[in-house]
Amino acid sequence: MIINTLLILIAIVASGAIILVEDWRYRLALVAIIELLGFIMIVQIWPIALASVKLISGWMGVALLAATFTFTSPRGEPSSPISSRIFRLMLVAFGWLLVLVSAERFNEWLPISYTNLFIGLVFLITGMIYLALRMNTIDTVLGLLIFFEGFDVIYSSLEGSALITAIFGIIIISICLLGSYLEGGFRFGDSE
Amino acid sequence: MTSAFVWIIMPLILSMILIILSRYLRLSNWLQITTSFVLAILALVSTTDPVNRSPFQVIEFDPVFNFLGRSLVVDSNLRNLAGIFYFFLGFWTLALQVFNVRSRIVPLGLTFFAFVISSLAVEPFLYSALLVEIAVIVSVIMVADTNATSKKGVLRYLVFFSFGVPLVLLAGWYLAGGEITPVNEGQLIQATLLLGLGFVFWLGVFPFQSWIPLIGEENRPTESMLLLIVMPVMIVMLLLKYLNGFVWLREFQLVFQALTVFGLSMVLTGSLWAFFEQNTNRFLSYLMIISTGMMLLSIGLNQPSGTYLAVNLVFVRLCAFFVLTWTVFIIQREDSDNSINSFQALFFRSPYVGISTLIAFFTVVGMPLTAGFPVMQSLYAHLSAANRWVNFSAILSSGFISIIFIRLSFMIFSQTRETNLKQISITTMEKLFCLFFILLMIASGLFPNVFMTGFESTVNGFEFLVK
Repeated sequence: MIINTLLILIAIVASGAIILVEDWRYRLALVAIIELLGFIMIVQIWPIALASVKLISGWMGVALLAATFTFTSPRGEPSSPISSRIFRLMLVAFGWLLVLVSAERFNEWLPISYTNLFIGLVFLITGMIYLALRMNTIDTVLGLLIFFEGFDVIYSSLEGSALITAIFGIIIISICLLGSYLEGGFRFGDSE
Repeated sequence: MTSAFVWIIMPLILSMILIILSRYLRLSNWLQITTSFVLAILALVSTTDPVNRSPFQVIEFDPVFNFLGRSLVVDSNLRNLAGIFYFFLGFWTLALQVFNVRSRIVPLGLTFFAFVISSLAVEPFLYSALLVEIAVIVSVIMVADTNATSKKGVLRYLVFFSFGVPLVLLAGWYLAGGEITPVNEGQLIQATLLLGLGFVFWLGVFPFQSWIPLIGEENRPTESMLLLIVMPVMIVMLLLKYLNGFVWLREFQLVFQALTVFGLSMVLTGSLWAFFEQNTNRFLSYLMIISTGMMLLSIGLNQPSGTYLAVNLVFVRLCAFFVLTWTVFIIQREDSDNSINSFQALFFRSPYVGISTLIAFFTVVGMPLTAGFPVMQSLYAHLSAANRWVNFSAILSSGFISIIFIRLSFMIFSQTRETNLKQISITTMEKLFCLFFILLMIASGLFPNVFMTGFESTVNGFEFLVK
């Protein structure tokens, strides 16, 4: 019970922090933490070998993005005004509130552990808010990683398939590869 | 040999080889053209159903390919669709060769189509959403111009399709239970809502259609239009597969009513937006939204003829938009003007381009003697019998489009005041290419059944939708 509450609290803090922080290094680190949290949730249901596929693919993706960003990101990103940060915090707090009031109702038709559902929904909503607030390529990719991690925590509790795990892993790495490609991390062909 | 190996795995392997050979542009282009046409012809001369084989189907493939406890099933429906898709890819790559365009469609086109087909082939088909996502990622690499100042379109496309994946997967999980034991009314509504929302994101139903014109505007038409033409067709076929596969979904009247509403919203908003659009690429994108809307209206009829009409519309879409894309490419190559005014005096600058543009436009709207005419007429007749208001709205939107096309016709045939009209220079091969498609469109208008029967065979296997 205490561990579950602790996990929920960490998920809330991580989701709030990723909406607020400006430095891309911290954002990537927070996505890695979110992937780790997802792994902790999934490993309670699945064999460790299968669950670790998700963690490894997620971290590989983060590493790929970090490598790309090291070469392409502009130094010294402008920090947003305090009012903007308050607005973002309010938005994500609204998301937590939404999850809090709807999680039990969702639990009626998704027969999974409440902790998994709650954390999954928190990440899902955070991913959506993140995607709504930031529009550049790398943030879109990070938003999608958070969104998919949330869904993965919920869906893994419903369906335990090796094939789905494999395809999901491929999707996560492909999205990161795509982000890296769109940011100019590597070139494909020389059509342009 | 299994059919999935032929139409899914082999193209994937060939695509990998083409990546290695990509520095030899000509060689890789011709390899992709040959592969695509061979795969398309194989679909014609092979069968996966030996009982109903025709005399010219001399090769037999096993329809089921098992993989990690799941299967890829390329049955006769999908075999025919794969044939159509590979024919289309073959012609598109041929166009790239004829018009001398370097594109990432070679070698990624084969990968993209392999994933498109695999998403329709996977059993249990609730997994299709994941393969759709992979197809989307491949298509973004294929389409996105890394040097473009804005990548909003492809990013929005990626986000909307990604939003659809969890919704469709969850609905699939619900409905998979319903295959074994009947689901209750509440569950059915929830699953339908999830599935509906998923398809709304995937099809670009209003208000989630903004990625379509953005992709058209921000990227080169030679890549973006391939995506915009093919992706909704794949989603519509997936929708038909879901409708055929789940009896609870099929018997839920709200589903077909919703499809009608979605289709109508796409047709109406698409025609309104197109009416005021001045950018040619965005204009074509809106026409594609209308075309998808018409397909949804056909399926929403909840009749066998509606299902057939939807695939007949696929033929019209593939044919007309292929021609429009390449004529627009020729015009933009000449004066890099994306404005709709670039059609001015087109007939006098190049009769081949002018005529093919005009016939393609008329095919889209369903003017008499074009391939679109019998399909649109039949759709209006069925809509009129089903719901007059829906029919009135569909005709109204076609009216909007007709007005634009008539205005464009005047533009194409109008002489400018300039004495030295700048001619569009096209090579003999390009002229022959245009001529071939002019003749194809005229022939398909005169003898529509010859061409459309092949398309109808892509849904003949959906026994609960067409019988």
